[in-house]
Amino acid sequence: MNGQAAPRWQAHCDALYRQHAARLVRLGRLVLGDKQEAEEVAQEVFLKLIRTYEGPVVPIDWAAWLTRVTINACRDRRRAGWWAWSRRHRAPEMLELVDGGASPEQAAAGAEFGVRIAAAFQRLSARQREVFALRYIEGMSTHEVAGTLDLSEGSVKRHLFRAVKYLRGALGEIKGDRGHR
Amino acid sequence: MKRCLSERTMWLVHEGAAPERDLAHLEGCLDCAARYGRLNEELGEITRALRDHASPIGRDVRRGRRRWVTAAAVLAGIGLLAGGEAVLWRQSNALVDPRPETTAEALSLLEEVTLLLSSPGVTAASVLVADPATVIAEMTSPESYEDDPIAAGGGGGGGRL
Repeated sequence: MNGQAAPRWQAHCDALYRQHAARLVRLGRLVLGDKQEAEEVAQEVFLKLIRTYEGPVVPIDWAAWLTRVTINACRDRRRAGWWAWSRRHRAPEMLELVDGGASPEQAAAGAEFGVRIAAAFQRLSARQREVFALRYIEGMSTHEVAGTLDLSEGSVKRHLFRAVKYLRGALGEIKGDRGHR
Repeated sequence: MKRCLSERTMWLVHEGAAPERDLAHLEGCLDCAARYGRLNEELGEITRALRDHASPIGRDVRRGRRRWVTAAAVLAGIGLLAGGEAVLWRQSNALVDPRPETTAEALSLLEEVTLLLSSPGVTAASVLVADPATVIAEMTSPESYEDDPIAAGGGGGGGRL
């Protein structure tokens, strides 16, 4: 790479990082259910971004590219044997079902709701988590989700509806528990 | 009257994928309108909760900052301890290692001063005003002992201390 091109690509990569890093960590965290893993995935994705930037074919829509690469990196992790093993052998609190940073009062009140919803979300299938995160958290259309995940729109809708149904049920239970206290 | 909308159809309405006749029903049915409102509200709650819970910004950043502050405080404490220890070590070394050449000089000077002050007829004032070389010469000459009753008398019980 010549001396003039370096600052330009670096500036663009920096801008992409600032714009998308938090979003990709959040997406990875929802799909994998693990903050540390999600941060590692985001780092991997940005390394890939630099390599792709130097390559012959540069994507037109970097945001969509980053989302797709993040989802693929999460899938690769899920497929790895060690990942499944470590998840089986880790305590539930390590999988971020419990918020370690909140004070006991916060955990008992406001944060508990989010924690329980997140726990319910982690009980969805991997595909349902991906579809829900892309559609409702990332704000993609059903068509875009289908394109990102290489699925048909009908399949996306099916997964999405099941996820919504399950999460609404969990929300009802949580609200019921709160009402009884 | 048409039957009320199913949960799936309601969700399709939310997604903007329901047929016209379902939308028309929703507009005319208060029960379905209320259910649709609840669906919107609940989806909003779930989305917000997940977004807040999974967001790396906010709580984690604060937690990260707190960790940095703690780490900096610990490092500063270690630095202060190490600095204090170094100062103490240097001082103790100075006590243990008396620098021989300086001590030798000081001892010889002290010896001279002691000799000078203990010699008879030499007062502190005279030492101060006189030339040190002359005073030392006087002190060391045999005549200087003549006035000393102890030294001159040569008594059996005495002598210069």
